[in-house]
Amino acid sequence: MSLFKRFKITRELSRLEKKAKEDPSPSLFVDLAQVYINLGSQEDALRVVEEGLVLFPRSDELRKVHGFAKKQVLTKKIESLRGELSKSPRPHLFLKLAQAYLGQGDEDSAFAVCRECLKRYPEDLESRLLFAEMATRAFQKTLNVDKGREAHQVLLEILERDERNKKAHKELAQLFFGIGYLEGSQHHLGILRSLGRIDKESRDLEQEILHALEEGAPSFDDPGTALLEVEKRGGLIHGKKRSLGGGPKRILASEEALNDVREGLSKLVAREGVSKAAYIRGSKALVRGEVRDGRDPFLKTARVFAKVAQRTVRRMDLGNFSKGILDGVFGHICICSFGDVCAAVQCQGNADLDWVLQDLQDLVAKSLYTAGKK
Amino acid sequence: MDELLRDLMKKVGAKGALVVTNDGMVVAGFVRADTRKDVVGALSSFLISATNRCLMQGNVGGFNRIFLKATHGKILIQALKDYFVVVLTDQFSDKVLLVDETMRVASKLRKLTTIQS
Repeated sequence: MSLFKRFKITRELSRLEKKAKEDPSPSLFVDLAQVYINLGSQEDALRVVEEGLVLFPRSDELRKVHGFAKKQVLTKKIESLRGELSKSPRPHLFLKLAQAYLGQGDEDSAFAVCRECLKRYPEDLESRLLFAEMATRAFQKTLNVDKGREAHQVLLEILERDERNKKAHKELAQLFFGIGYLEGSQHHLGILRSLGRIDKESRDLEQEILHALEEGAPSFDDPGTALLEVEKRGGLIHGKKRSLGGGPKRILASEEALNDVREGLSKLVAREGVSKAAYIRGSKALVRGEVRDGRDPFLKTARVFAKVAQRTVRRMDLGNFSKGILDGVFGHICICSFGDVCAAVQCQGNADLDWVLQDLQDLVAKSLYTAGKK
Repeated sequence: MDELLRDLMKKVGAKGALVVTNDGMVVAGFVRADTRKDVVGALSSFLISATNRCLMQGNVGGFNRIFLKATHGKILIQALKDYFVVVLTDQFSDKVLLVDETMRVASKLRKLTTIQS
């Protein structure tokens, strides 16, 4: 990039930042962050979005950009940490790398880094503790009993090396409470108390255990039996996450509207030249045709295109985006959008795009009408 | 270039016709007094880059044309080699005429900007 161009961009950016401070709006912060992201300055993008989130904490768009910018910053950090590790491996670098992966939501890589660190430095308690914490969270999330056993084992290993480790006692107390081994949980909370003042979270846990015992809630004699019981039930014994299948499920819209959408999508796919069809609402999508899975490029393109098109037409004072066609070597992607609902199809050259767009409009209108009626 | 764009605007009754680069610089074009050229250029660039990035990530190849219909207007973006023709019209314009005329102008622009050996 030429010096002149860089100067122009910098001047424009400082003008935008000034404007964002004088007349703040979520979209202004989002646009500004987007420019920084396009320029490859993710740290600035993150800074701008964080400033925006202070003023507009409920803005979904800002949150999304925040997540994206954070991910980009973490990717940079991971690259630099990997570079440092290849030069001089140290336990704290492994720990930072694992935490960066966790920040990105890449738990598998975080586990792999921790395992590598423990192989090289078996006495490093920090990475062992992070490993145990991750295993506990993974167990609570997936209810995979092997992960629960692994977490238990690693926490015991930490206590073998340092029996006064408060974090390990607390983690064990929480794990045992979740699986219904209340006696074990109380035992570790007792040790925590004997080691000094305990935090609010642990005090609350103590109260919850007492309450559960008073109510005659199930309690098992050892962690092995408790874990087997969790596996049998398909849910934690105590704690927030009781069952994977339990509780009211979030639904896309009413059942009637869903049936209409399914019918509409099937009708679209039956049209000549149409290969993929999707009805998207927020993060949920109903699909028909040759859509491989949730990561199919068609779905992502439809989502991004609808959002970007809406923002573009709004900023150009053209009202709301309603229909769009994207032509390329992949054929045509036709989109019809209304609010947060969007229906899209991918079709080949021989498809009648006017009819396809008409069908898409009918689909969106019908789904909104039926949901609204309910 | 200006002549071609002016001609295009007249034929399709457009509110604006521009040639913009991938990074949002307006090379040539006209817009009505109530619209800002640099804003249209920047927003088109935003739309183009975001769509292209998404398509490239999915390994499905780039796009040739984008057509958007909104409450108060239509936008057509026709890709040329390293730049794009952006046409803005009101909501009542004829899509077929818009596409045909833009294609015709785009092919002339392509010839115009190719250095003959």
